[in-house]
Amino acid sequence: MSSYDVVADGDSCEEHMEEALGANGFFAGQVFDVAEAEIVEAAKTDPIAFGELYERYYVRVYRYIYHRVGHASDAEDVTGLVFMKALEGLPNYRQRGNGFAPWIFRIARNAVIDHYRRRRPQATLDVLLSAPDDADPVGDVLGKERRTELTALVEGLSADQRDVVLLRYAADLSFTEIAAILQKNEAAVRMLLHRGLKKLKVVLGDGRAGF
Amino acid sequence: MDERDFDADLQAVARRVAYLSSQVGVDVGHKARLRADLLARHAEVTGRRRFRLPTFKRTFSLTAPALAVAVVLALLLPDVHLGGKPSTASAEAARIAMAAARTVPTVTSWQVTLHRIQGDTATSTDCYVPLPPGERLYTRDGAIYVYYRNSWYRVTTSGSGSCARWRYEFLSLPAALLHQKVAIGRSTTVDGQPVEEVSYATRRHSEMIAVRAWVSPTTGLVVRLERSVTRGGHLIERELADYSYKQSSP
Repeated sequence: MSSYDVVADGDSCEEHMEEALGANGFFAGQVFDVAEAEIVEAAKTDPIAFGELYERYYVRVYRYIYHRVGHASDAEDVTGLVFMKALEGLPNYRQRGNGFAPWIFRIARNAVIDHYRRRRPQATLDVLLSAPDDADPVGDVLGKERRTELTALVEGLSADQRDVVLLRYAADLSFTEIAAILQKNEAAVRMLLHRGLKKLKVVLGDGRAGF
Repeated sequence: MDERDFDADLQAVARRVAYLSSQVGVDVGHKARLRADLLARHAEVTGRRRFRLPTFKRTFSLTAPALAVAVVLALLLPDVHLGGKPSTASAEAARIAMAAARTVPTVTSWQVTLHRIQGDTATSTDCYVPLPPGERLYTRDGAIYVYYRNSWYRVTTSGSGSCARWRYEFLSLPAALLHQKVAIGRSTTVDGQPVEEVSYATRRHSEMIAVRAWVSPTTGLVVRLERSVTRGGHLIERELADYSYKQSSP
């Protein structure tokens, strides 16, 4: 027997099984993939829905932040802050045309800016002079350990170009969503991306760009 | 990607940047810990803001402070029956609706036995609906959702016929209790199980649809549901469904 059994008259149950969607076919009627807007609304009060949003956005948010801060443990800290802020701000979130992604990435972008404000280099001359020869105190202070190729590459871009490139490729956002985050129009975003990619092309060189 | 206007070289750079950005590994331990922290925090935060939900805000604004206190107590102690005579139907309805909404996700399978009388014809149908492990039902604002394989789906009950509609009918009660004018009847039993009777009526064109539900006061789940359709004072159709559930721990 299937997961849905008809014990008595069996008039319409079997027919509706044919309509059922889902792996086991227990649904009757129509089944819709719930739109993200509904998940966001549910997430205001339902932890399962919030967990769903977290799963959808964690990797994208983390990658964007990672390439901005260039350090795994800092990226984890900032990512944690972003989701905590999202959780606390969610009751005030109102659905607008551009959806949830620009909202959470605006939080992420601001969190990165705050991160850099907090982490201005504070090494004194005494620290630098007393450090052993093989140490890299400036590098430690700046958190510049093990930067990835992309993180190093985008450092050569302007702040806006870097944002656009990372929001586009690390966060996988559309031009419309990026425009909403940066409060620019889509044409300006495309122009920033175009110029950013041209700079990166020079840095990468023709041979490496042809990946 | 949508960089079709860019020249081929820039498109190649774009592909390389996209590839490099994807080469960042995620610490699954951090992801899991953060998720657990967030969900714990979510429970804390939603506990604080539960009373600001629109439905209950409306209840509070329309009812006397004493009644609001009763509703708050019922929300805080959903499994505790407020003894004595119900103060008002709306407070009782809110209490039952909340208990149902909280309990529905614990349902793992259910059985519906439907008796239908239409004219001179009487039929009887049994439906058994199991939820595979990991799949959970929810109700919210009158909509029915199922969560499975990390996705949410909304279920509609548009199908006509016995099983197709009635198997989910018990899930529509919480919304009905909050949005209809509900009458609370006396406590009684169905198959030896203590229940509370609630009823409401709606109009559809020239038909009057009267619904009576017998609800377990502890779980908030519908034990029996009856729906009668009358037109011009004449009974057109009557359906009565008995529900039995298997539940996991909340």
